This record gives sequence, structure tokens and C-alpha cells, in this order.
Amino acid sequence: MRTKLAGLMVTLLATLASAQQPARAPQPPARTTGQTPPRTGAGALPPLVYICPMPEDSEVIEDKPGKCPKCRMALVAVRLDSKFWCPIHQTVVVRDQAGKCPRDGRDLVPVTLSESWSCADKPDTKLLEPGRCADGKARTIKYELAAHGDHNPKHGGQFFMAADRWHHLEGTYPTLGLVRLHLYDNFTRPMSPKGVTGTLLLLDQMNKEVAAYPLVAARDNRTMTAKIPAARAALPLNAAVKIKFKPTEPENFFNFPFSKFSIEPPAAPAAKAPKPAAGSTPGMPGTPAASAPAAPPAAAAQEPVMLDRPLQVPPGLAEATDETRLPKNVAGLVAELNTRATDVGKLVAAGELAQVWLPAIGTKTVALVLDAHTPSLPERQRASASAAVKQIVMASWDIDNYGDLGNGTKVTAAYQRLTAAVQSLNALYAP
Amino acid sequence: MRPSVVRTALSLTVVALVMSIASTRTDAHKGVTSKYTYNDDVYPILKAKCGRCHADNGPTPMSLLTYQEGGGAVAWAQSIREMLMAEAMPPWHVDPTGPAVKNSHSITPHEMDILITWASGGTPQGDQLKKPGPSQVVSQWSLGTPDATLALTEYALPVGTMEASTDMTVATNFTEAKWVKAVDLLPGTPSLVRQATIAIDGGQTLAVWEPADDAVTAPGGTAFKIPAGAKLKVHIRYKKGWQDEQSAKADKSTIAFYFTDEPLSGKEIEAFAVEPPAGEAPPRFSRTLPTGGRVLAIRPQVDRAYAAVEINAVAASGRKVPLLKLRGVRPEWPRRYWLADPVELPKGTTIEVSTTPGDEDTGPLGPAVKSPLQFSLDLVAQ
Repeated sequence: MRTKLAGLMVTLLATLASAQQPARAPQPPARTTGQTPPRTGAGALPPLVYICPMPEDSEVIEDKPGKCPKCRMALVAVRLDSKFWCPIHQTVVVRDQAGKCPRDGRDLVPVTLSESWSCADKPDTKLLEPGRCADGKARTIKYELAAHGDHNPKHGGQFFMAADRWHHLEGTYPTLGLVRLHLYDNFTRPMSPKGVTGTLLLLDQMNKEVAAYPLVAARDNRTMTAKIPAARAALPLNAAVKIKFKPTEPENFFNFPFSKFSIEPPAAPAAKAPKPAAGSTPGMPGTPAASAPAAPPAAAAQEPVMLDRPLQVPPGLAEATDETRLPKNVAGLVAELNTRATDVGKLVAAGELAQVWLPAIGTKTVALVLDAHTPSLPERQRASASAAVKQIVMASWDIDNYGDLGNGTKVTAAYQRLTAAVQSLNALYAP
Repeated sequence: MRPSVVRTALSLTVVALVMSIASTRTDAHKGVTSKYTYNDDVYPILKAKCGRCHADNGPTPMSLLTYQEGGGAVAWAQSIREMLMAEAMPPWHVDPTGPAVKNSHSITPHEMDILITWASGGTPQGDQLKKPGPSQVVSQWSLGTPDATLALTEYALPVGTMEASTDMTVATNFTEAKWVKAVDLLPGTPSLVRQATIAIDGGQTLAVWEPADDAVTAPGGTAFKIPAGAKLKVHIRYKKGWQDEQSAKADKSTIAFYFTDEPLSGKEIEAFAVEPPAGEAPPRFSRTLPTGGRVLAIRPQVDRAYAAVEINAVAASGRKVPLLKLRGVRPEWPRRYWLADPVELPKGTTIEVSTTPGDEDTGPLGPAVKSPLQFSLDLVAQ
């Protein structure tokens, strides 16, 4: 149990808090000092929820301890809270409200954090409640970015994350002339399109806009749809979406190239679903639960959770980054590099932005192995070879990131840098 | 907000389960989980490539040499990724495809990938037993015990003052001319001193100091000459970490001299400045060497961010030899680049500078500090 949370937390651990910790603003607002805010008892803490330790299963959130219904591992207790923090200097402030980052003036972004407390003598031991340490000092609060790993399409469409890393959306083309946009939050929970404004764009082959149609909130209160006249609705449909999640926020742009109609996956057998709490309606955010979760039941029995093990690597990624299967000689590596870069190119050309990350990471893996062969080159060429490998590393990470954000323009630009660097390596390692 | 987390948590369970069983999950984007851990893989790179500045008590307010205690690398993971992807950090501007310089500390592709993978992929800590010990900035002379030192007067930054710079004139009290192979500076308060320049009053620049670099000695057989009774002009730029804004801080730095014998030629290292004409700097400007000489080092001082800067020597025949190639240059960390292989140039050689302006105000480091544009060659005349 103690290592389970390691598998869960997808990103940063934000340590704000005790007096010796520098990562905070000069004039910290109320909630940034690490002082435990006045609580009126355990009931005032964010609720305890139980989540699956596997990053693959980050969508599992239960209200009581037990086994993960997907991987059968024991669920881990966390306290989740909705906060705002700096987009870059994430630990500088954690606030309850939107505002400006005191370090760089950028808008604070919403984030779901898990809260835990620890003592100076055991900084890695996470406790689920504030209180006193053995030395009499107050436990310091820590914030941890909560699970956020599930970018799987739910409706057979293309799934992307917005630049604010909070909003997510999936575009589907279920039937001729109708594009549907599913909105999700940071936990892949369906969201209401209330206050969201957007336009569906149709693009030509050069990705120039040729038509625009409004996206309208659907009656299901969790999707938006746009209707396209039959004359323009034929496949392949090179669509894009301009969307504002709030009127005051910047516009987001996503490419949605549809080469085929989206097919809704079949529903899972209902018997496997755990029994929902009485009164709650599955999938309807905001539906009141019959009972608020109990105050931390036996929270004291909770074992401390340690971050002491590398995270679990998903199988597809493990394969893409497996160096042992790669050719051992330079010619073989260069050929493999070109094969993988071509795979990236095919997905980029097909507009499969959500899938392009995996071959990009695979390309980078080959390039890094090839970098170890740099000494086989004449001395004056080595720096150029290493510079090209660095370009591939950076371009691959950009493809990974912007593919996930659905930004076709940036993915294409990064792919161009990737191919240019692959060409340089081809020339340098030419027999 | 909190009750809604639970409400949706309850209701979501069912939906999430239904959806996840049904969906294909082979290709969708996943956070690239890191096989690299802080203790095993990340700390050694941060220590070697970032630890001169990003250490507890160092000249930057964010230490990367702890996992999470006192801020720590985890808290800066996203920032580490941004800086690396923009090639803004570590601030090493030498283009590797140009001539080599001494004491290069660029980051290798593999190191960069380990850091980005770790920062993007869950920032795992690794084996608790391999946890690195506490590390602080060690204040010591990089070239060993100096032959002579000169203590500077204390400079104070009061409460509320974040940045300041000072120009002081200091007497060396040397009663005879001294030949030196290196001049160095040791900050009294390493967390304050960001940059320093030490020059002979009205003469040659002896040292361009910044915290990430060790001092370099002039190549064998070459030396700077400090005349008897010379005074030094010392420029120091101070900056507090934001956590020190509300406290008063002071620094009392020391200058060190490393003496050497007078070169056989009797000639000292001189400066040859190449500056743009007055007014707006053209993308290309040049100046012709009145005498031949051996170029040992180049000191660029830029006025803004440049995507690329090239300094070439063009012989009367038209043949071009690159002297220094920089990219992504910014004014914050001026350096003296000692050429790995000094270049002999005949009389009449033109030193040609070409610049490609960079994006000034964007990028993770924000707007650049302004200063005059100038390129100085350190050379020994024939």
C-alpha cells in the first residue's frame, strides 16, 4: 500500500509551506503561507476519496476504501480540492480563487490538488489530516497535482486537452452533417457546455478556413453540436474547433480531421458497475448525493504513502522506449530512425493528433541510441550529429505535447523540425 | 467546490467504469511515465549542469538539489521542462557546430531527455536509501590558493531593494607591474552576486565573472599586465531571491590574482573591440585589425536577445575563418569565451560580426536587460 500513490500522481508535487521553504511569493496571500487554514474540525477538510493507484485507471474515484474495479489493486485515500495556481511557477501560490500569478503575472489556472500533511522529520510521509508533529510544530501542508492521465476517447472520437490543462474535449463525427463535441474536466468527467462558446471550422487541404458553423449546446447538457450542409459534409472532413471555455479566457484551437465516422463504443455490462450511492445519477455532475461522505472514517488507520518507486510505464510506451530491441549497428539504427519518423509523418498527414505521440517518443528513443555512436563520426561532424539528436528530442516532446493539445499547426511545425534533423543524421551517417 | 468533488466522484464511478471498459485504450495519449528517478538519474545531472546556481544558498532562489524539501526540484518540474524546451537553461549560448571553447557546459541530448521525461512523467523520487545528502554552494577559489587577494568594501541591499549594481574603483597597491594569468572573484554572499566584471581602470578587462563558470587561466605564454599602482574598475550586479525581499542583505566579495612570468615576447593580452556604427545596429558590421595577432578569447556583450550571432575573421584573400558561433544569446550572462584553439590572424584581417535578432520579450525568461552591443577580441599582437 505504501507505494501505491507513486503510481497515481501524474505530475508535480507542490510543497508549499513551512517557514524554511522558499518557493512562495513575497507577499503571500491567505492560502499560500502553508499555515493550515482555520478548520472547524475534520468535517471542514476536503473530503476523502479513494482512487486507483495505476495511472492508467485515474478515472476511478470511489467514496469508500476497497479494490480498484479495473486493476484490483487496493484504492488509495486522498483529499481532493479545487484550487488555482501559477501556470509556470506552480508552487509559488495555491489559491482558492482565480487571479494573477505574482511571479510572472500570468493568469492562475484551475487545478485539482490532493492535500496532505507532513512533519519535518519525515517529509515523505503523507498524513491525511493537519495536526501536530512529534516536535510540537504544526504539520505542513503539501499539495499534489491529482490524477489526470485518462485521455482515452469515450465516444469513438478524437480526445484532446486544452492549454489550461483542465478542460478536455472529444470531437466526434457520428453521422453525415453533424459534428459533436463532448466536454470534460480534469478528471474526464462530462461537463456542461454552459458559458462555453465555439465555432466549427471546415478547412481546405492547406488548412485554410473555408466555412464556419456555430457550436450549439445540446439538450443532453454535456455536448455541443454543429450542423454542416450536405454539400460540405462528405468524408474526409477536415474540421477544426475554436472554443472559449469562459468568455474572459483566451480562445483555444483544435484540429479535428475526420477520415471516417465515429462509432460509439458499446456500453459495458451494467453488472460490473459498482452500486452508486443512493440518489446519485450516473454521469450527472452536480446531482446531489444522498449523503455527504462521512468524515474521514478510520483515516488514522490509513498507512502513510511514500513516493519511492518509479511510476508504472504503460505497455505501448514501454515498447516505444525499449532500447534492447533496436539494431546494434549504425546503419540499422538510421534505418529504424527513418521508419519511425515516417510513422510519425503518416499520422501527422492523417491528422491523427491524439495518436502521434507514441511514434514520436519511439523516434526519439532511436535517436538517443544513435547519439551513443557519435564518436564513430569524424570529429568535426560530431557536434552537428549531437545537435540533430537534440533537435529530435525537443521536436518529439513538442509533438507529444501539442498532439495532446490538438494543435495541428504546432505538431506539423515540430514534425518539420524532426524530419530536418533526421535528414541531417542521414547525411552525417551516410556510408 | 468540495461537495461537488464528492458528488461527481460518486456518480462518476459508474460512468467511468462503463466508458473505460468500452473504449479502446491502445493509442490514446498518456502522460509519458518516467522510468528515470530523481535519486538515480535526475539529481546527478542537476548537480552537474544546474547545481552551481540552483543550490541552497546559491545565486538563484530555487534549489534543484533536493527532491522536495525547501521547494526542491519537484516543485520546479514544469519550469525545468519549459526552460529546457526553449533552450533557455542552462544558459550556455555556444553553437556546438561552431569553433570549440573552453569549459563548455552544454547539456547533452540524453541529459535533456532524462530531465524532460522525469519532469513530464510523474517526477518519481526513487530509492529512499539513495537520497542525496544536503548540498550548498561551496565558496572556494576554483583555481586554488591565489597569489594575492584584494578585499572589496561591503555593499548592502536594504529591505525592499531587489536588485542593484555597483561600480567601484579599487587601488591594487602593486608597487611593480604584475603579469597575471587569471583574475577571479569570490562572493561573500553567493546568493546575492549575479555577475561581475573586473577591469584595469582605463584598460584591459581582466575577468568576466558569473556564478556558473570556473575561472580560466590564459594559455601558456600569455598574460595580462597590471601596471604598477594601477586601479581596478569593478562592476558587480546583485539580485536578491524573492524570499529575501523583506530582509536586508550585504555582500563583501574578494578579488584574487594568479601571477605568472612575463611572456618571452614581452607582449600582454590586449582588447580589440568591434562595435556597430552609432544608431540602430545593422545586422552585419566589421572592423579591420591594424596589426596581426593571436586571438585567445572573445567577449560578446549583447544589447538584446539574438537568435544567432557569428563572429568571423575574413582574410584579405576573402577566406573566412569562424571565431565564435552563438545562438539564443541573451544579455544577462556575459562571458569571456576562451577559444579551445587560439587563432593566428594576419594584419589586415577583417573581423566581421553578423547577428540575427531573436524574439525579445517572449520565452520563459521574459524581456532582456539592455546594454550596449560590443564584441571584444582578446589577442596578443604580433
